[in-house]
Amino acid sequence: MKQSSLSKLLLHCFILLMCLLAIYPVYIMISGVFKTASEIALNPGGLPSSLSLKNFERLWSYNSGSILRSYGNALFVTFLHTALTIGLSSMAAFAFAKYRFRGSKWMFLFLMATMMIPMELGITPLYIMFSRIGWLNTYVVQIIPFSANVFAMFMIRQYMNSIDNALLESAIIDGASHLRTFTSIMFPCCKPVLGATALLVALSKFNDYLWPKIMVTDAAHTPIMVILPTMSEKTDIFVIPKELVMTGCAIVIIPLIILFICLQNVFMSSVTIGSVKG
Amino acid sequence: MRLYKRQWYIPYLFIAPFVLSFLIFFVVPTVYSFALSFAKYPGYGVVKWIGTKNYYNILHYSRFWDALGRTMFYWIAKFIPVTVISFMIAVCLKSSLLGRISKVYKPILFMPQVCAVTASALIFGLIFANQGGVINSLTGTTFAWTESATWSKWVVLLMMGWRGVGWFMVVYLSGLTSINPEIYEAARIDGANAAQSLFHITVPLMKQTFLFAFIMDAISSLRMYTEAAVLTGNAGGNASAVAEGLLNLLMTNLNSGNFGMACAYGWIIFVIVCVVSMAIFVSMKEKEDA
Repeated sequence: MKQSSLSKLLLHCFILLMCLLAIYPVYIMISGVFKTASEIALNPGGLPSSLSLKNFERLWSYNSGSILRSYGNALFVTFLHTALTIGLSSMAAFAFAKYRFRGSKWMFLFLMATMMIPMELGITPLYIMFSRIGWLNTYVVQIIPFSANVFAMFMIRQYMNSIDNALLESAIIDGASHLRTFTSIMFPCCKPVLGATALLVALSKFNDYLWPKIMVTDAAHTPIMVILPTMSEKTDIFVIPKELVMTGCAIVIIPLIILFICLQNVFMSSVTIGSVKG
Repeated sequence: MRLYKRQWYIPYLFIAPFVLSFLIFFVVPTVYSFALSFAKYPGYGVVKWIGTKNYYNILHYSRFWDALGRTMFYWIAKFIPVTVISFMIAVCLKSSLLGRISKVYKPILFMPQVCAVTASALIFGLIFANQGGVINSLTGTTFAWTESATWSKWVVLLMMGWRGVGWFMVVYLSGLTSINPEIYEAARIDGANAAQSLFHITVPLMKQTFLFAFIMDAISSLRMYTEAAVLTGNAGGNASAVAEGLLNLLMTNLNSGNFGMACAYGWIIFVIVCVVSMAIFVSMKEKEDA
């Protein structure tokens, strides 16, 4: 038995070491939040000397409130994009799951096959297209494109397949219209999958850097993920306000971590579905 | 549903918005980009057809080969250590030795994956900063990690690895769960020790899972952009030439208005992704048949 308790100890040590490595950068960030500029320059890795929240105050007023505004932009865009994506995808999923119609099979297969094609292929034509119709530097360009999310549609359809047809048929016999059957019967039944899909869509939108980086250059419409790196650019300011950059990271990462602690299973399921690897 | 037979158009109405959005924002741009990759187009004036010259130029451009090599480096040099570590973690978490506390470890280990890439890159930027960085203050130097030609790619790699462990861990955990515990029971009765059952049962049975992780990781490494752009980027948002991947090159061309060239880069990335995933798939398949 002695050997087993030794190997148990070794396992714990190994896992604890890995946990420490996983937490370390987050610790650096959180300790940076409470430090002053001179403190961070002298002692970047150590514990802060006081727990003052002054950096948050400075961050709100930084660059005439652009951080707060960009945070609002990100939440606004994420919310509308997610709502639109879930709306379009669940409607399409409903049709694919519960109706037999001409072309449904090959259309579905075609959509599945396109999941292989990276979105970067279309990015250049989309840029040209949006510059022509004046969509650059707007909220619309962040909300509407890619609302036809094949992955979301597939996830919702899988769930809808498992719902009993009898339920829908009884609604029709009672005189419900097609749309009514969808909104009042199907939609409530699918709440768990809709919630999970919405979370994954929202996360990938909120965390996205590439798309808004290309399409939005005007500070009024930029989401926070694009604003954060510009804080450390050396062009306008020679001294990077590192404590403010860390505070900025904290205001995006800490809500994400809290969300993750509450909804661990949804976050981890995204991995095994094989859709999002950020 | 049979009851809907008379109104044949109903399902089409349901899919119409989705299909419309899909056509406008995905199919049309993709087809257009294929055409544009054979043209020179600065965004105004006429589209000048130049045949395969864009592709020719890219394939004769040393920076492309550097970026491709670096992408392969990011992929392989990350995959091997990260797989070893996260497979070990998964086996540990799965084993009964750790007990119930593994429920606490798992989310902690997955947490880096939850941290937004942009913010993680900024944190790593502070850790490896040349003045007042954590590493430099520990060692008492002022080395410019993220600007160095040899070291900046290691910093990017370290960050990708840090974020990746949680992802791989969950993949391997789900692979381990799918193995029938009776096999271990049988092996134990036959006198196999823990190491033997790990290498002779777990590893061979996990082949499909490793394959899945390898392909997914190849695709995401080939398409990596944000890590290099934020960690080593300059004011324009283009990654430093010593750390950039293929997608960073596409963006550089897009930013400077070489639209035909940018499209050609997109198709080259796509072809590489297809070839790599096919090659892995086929080689693993052949091994299985043999």
